[in-house]
Amino acid sequence: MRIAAEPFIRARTHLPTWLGLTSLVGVIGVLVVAPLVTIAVRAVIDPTTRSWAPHARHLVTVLTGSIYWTSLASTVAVAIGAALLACVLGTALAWIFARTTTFGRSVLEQIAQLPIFIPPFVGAVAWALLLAPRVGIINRILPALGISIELDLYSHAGMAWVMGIYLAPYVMMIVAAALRSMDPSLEEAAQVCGLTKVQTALRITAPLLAPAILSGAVLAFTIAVGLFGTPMVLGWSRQILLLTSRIWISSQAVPPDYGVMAVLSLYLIVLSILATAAQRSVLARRSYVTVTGKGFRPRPIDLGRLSALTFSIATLYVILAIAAPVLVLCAAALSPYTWAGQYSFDNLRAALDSDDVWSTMKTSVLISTAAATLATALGLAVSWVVSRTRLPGRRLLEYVVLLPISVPGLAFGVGVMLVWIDVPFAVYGTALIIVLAFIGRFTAYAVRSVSGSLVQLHPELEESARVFGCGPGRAFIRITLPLILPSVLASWIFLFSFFMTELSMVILLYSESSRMFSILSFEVWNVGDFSRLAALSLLQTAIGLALAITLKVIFHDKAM
Amino acid sequence: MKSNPHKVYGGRGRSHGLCGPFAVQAGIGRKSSLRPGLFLAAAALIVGLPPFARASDAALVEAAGKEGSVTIYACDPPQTPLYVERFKQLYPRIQVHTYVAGCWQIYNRHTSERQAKRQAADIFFATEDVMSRMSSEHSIEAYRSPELVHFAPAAAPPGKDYLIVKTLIYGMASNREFTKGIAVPNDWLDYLEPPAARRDRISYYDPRTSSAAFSLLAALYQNFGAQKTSAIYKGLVSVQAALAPTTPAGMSKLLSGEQPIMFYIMNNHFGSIASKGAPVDFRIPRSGTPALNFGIGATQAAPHPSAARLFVDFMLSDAQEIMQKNNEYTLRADVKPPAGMPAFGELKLMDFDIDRALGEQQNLLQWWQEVTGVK
Repeated sequence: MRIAAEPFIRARTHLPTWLGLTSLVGVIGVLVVAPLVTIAVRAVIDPTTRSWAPHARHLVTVLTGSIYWTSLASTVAVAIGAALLACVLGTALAWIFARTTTFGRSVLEQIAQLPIFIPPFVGAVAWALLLAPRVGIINRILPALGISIELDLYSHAGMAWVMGIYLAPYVMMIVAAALRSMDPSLEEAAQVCGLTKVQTALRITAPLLAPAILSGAVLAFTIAVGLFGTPMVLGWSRQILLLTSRIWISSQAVPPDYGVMAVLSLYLIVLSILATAAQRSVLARRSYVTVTGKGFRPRPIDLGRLSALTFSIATLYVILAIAAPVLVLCAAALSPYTWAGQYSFDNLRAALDSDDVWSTMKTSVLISTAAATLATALGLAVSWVVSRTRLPGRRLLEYVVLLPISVPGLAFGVGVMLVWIDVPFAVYGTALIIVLAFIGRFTAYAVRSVSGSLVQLHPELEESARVFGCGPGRAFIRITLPLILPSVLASWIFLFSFFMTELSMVILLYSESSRMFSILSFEVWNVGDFSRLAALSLLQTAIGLALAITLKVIFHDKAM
Repeated sequence: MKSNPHKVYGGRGRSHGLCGPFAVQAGIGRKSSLRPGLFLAAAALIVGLPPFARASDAALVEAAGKEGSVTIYACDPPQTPLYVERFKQLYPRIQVHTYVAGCWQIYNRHTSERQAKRQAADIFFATEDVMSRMSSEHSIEAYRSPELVHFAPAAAPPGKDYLIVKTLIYGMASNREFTKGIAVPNDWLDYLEPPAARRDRISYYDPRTSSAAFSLLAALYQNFGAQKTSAIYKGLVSVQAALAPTTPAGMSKLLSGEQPIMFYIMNNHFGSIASKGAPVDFRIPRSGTPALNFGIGATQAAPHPSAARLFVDFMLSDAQEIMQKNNEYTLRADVKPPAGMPAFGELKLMDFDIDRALGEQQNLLQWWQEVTGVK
């Protein structure tokens, strides 16, 4: 009897696990694979001709068109530049804020997060007012200082600069989260062995942070290749058209050229795969486990006199990269039109008094909160399966989830629309379709953020809990989750910030009941009212920042 | 190019030195039926018509109220919220949903939804090129509002299912603060050999992504021919005019002084920035300007047909006053031209055959790319 019951008992024990895994695969299949497959199918099949025979027409158009190769080269160049800048700035700032006793680090850290709450295209317009050739504020100040250089924002370097500044906080959040989860005993050992503090930072801390830095770099690169608003604002006048701009041109054709859009999206997917593969290849050679069963308490480094230098670096960054464009936004928000020279609170008052603004904000916060929570949970589950199980196909699962990271929102939005428009129940035209699109495209960010910390956590911690009778779920919730909470919260915050400012997918999927703040901003931009747009952006930034600070208070310094 | 005596319509602190009598010139005629309609409209105005009758009968209002909702697809971001707000005030039982985006973008979305049998749009409010195409595809209901009695016949183009509710015109805009000492263009032909002083000072718009830019390209091509139109665009390229995907990007640059001359601006866009006191001027080109009509129609198989008809009636009645106040021309007899602008009948309008332009769209865009070198 006992022997006969054993398989049943074993099956019953594993049933929840298998059910969970099946659900996970099913959810990813519907939210991630289906839109991507729809895009891929559109690259080789044209349903409007009522023929399902595959063809290579669109592939030939793109592969033989020099304009597309030029766009690809520009995209790669700008994205690499932006990722490098974001990495250097993000890592340096994370170290200053998370591991040193630099004066004012807490306040500076909050300010350094500001760019992620400002829609990228609004930031690009603000930068244009600062760095446009001839009339940009900085270009007018430089000659007055006797410097005869004219900076040109409408160039590859200009675009990389604006994107890099926007992406640096994302890298900073990932690296800071990893720094806060890192056992400092290795650094202490290095110092006992005679390394200076700077040598320790460069030779011990930086290499240990490699997974997080690489995670941040790949994240920054893939966001950069998929950005739509910034290249539109900065590249169009000189016809520096990145792949996303080309996709937009194709989307404007009548009927939209879904075939070319699909092929160009495949280009971006390939770029994403290459970046992820490069990251894997680098990390595969070594172990980065620094958090084991042994207890630790991260200790900030007292830099002594050097703290004046770190304070100066952080302050300079905040002033040049953040305060300047934010001040431009403030000046615009207080003016009836650009450079009016008259200031009032009319635009801000109008924004605060508008029912439309508040109802749109409420919708945005609800959709963004729901989507950020679900995407973070899904990302956590995928990261755990990949790093804590030996299930066959787990790497494939991770690759699949990471694929949409570089598919531009426009293309992914089209995929989502085509998937849900034909289903017999109401998803299309509701807020749910936006939530599903957000989860499908952005869960990758949660995986990137969380996996960097999870890889530093030795499985022996969970194993110990299970020795004491905890199930896998309980061990995860009681042991692992508290240790990676900073990464989880960082992931939630930047997903939330993404969703609050996302435009390219929402523009295809929204209806009046799901009209988000980005749509309101876009409508205002569409009538050339930059002053009102600036007022709305400031309101949006204030709400995003308030939420981030609330989280920090609730979770006692773990949320950044 | 020497400019003729020319009227400048300005924002705050009008530049009086530039003003002159508005010149109506002979030359390019207008073949469309708008002008005779205006005479009839003027006649109607003289005999006196009741102001803005709410023509929708009680039965229609009741039926629309029962439907409780109307969804509007529009490509007129500055004004659509104003119309919607007024409609909500008048008919609080009806919820209004809007989808506002580029003209061809809303068309593409509607087409996808119709193909999937998930049509959401009750109303289409777009430029005439889009409406014409929809009409030829029989996706607009042939509804003739009772309000049409107050309109010029041109408001109901023969053989089309939509109605024209307002007309925009193209003008040239400049920022006085940033064009001191620079001769600003007053005509399309002033771009044939632009002076070097205008280098890097002008913005123009991409007809691949802006329907207004495409209509202008087609109108110039139809009126001036290939050679002269080509020379105009080559002139723009020669002074390194900045290409922008849509007009709003140019408006931001006009105000910031980065590109203080706009190749064109629509009169309603201009009205929105001039009303804030910006030091900007509006010039109607000497050799004529195309008119860009906005049409409206209830969609075929609209989910809320009564509410859709009620909204069409509203746009032909109460909304007309909003249009006039926002620097737009209407064809309604009892509505004056926008304040400070010439009467519509005095405008020198270019011929513009929309159906021909649509038929030539792909070839024309390709030709424009070859001329400008934009790829």
